[in-house]
Amino acid sequence: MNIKLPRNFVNYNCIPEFLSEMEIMFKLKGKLKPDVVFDCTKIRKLSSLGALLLYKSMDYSIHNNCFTNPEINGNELFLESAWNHYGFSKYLKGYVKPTNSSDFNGYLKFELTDKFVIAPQPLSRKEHNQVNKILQTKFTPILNEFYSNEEEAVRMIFGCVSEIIGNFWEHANDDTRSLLVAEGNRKYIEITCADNGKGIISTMRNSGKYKSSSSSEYLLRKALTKGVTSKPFSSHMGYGLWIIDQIVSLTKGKFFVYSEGVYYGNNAGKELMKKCGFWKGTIIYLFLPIDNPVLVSQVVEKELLRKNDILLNFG
Amino acid sequence: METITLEKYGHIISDSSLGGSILNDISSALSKGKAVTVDFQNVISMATFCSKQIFGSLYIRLTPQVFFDKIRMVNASSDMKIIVRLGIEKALSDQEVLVS
Repeated sequence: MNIKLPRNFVNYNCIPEFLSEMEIMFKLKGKLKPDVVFDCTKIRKLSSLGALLLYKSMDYSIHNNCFTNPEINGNELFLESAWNHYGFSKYLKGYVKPTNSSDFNGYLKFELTDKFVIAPQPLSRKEHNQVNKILQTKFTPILNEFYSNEEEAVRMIFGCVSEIIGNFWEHANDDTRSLLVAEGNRKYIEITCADNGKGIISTMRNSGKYKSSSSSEYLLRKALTKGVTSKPFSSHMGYGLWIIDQIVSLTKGKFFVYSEGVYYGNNAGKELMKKCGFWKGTIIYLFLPIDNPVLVSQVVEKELLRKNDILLNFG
Repeated sequence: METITLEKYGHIISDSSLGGSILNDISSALSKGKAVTVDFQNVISMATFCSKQIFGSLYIRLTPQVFFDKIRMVNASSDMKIIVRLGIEKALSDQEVLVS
């Protein structure tokens, strides 16, 4: 069985194609299907998003005994340099078995650009200190250096990253293998997170707040609605994904959320909700233009209804 | 007066464990009868749920007047001020629902 990876494995456009190829994997849990190949021969472009999704698929298949000794087939030089560039080499060690494929289409060079790359960062709920350390030691210096004159852009990015991480911890609490990657240049930043945890749809469905007959599309839409949380009366406010969605509309960015057979997309304010191949867990893709940043506070300020009733000492 | 410098916990306050540590440290100082200054210097961002966890819960527990008298927040950007207010408002909304 060949699982074909997309030619341009770079952004939200390729994810539905990827998911329709990959969904069979989730039906093969424990089956140890032999002769499975991750067919990367068509890949011509690979971003941190592509590297993350390919890695998470291999990781899931191995930890859930989906396949027996799966192989990766493709241009080894290209893939190896991509793994190195995006920081996946250490994760893939032991997973990737060298092949003697004759399907190489010549030497395909993985191009390095002026982009910055933030290597995969684990978002384990059990490692709060580690995540804090990552934000302080990996993200802060890179972003401060890259956007040295764009203080508001850095605040916007961290505002969104903070909400994404909080959301992943809310929904991926049975998965300790969530990963976040990022890359960008002076004009934009792209952030992708993926896990194989419970997933937004299952979390919402199991919250007991919705009819069992509720469609997955309805539940995903609810998860993006302001004030809706699967954990009411906790510190969670149900604002995280909504805030990101608002910022994306205002900055003309892109925000895509994929979970368990459905996805939501916001492309510069144009929204869509569609079915797609099943992915156990959640994938979040965020593209933020750096021009004209919008801060979390600009989005939530209009939500303040009791400004005059709450006296605070900001002395 | 005791000063809690948030920078000590991180420039980005984005997880509930960190929020819990800050809440505990503020609560501990308050329990000694001290007023507390919370210094936001160099804090880049705070997740909205952390604001609710820290300032929302303190506001409910202390009551508005005691919160005002005992907790002084300094060097908070306009961004941070709004996020603190949102956390408090949402904690108040939760409390109203629970009471009713």
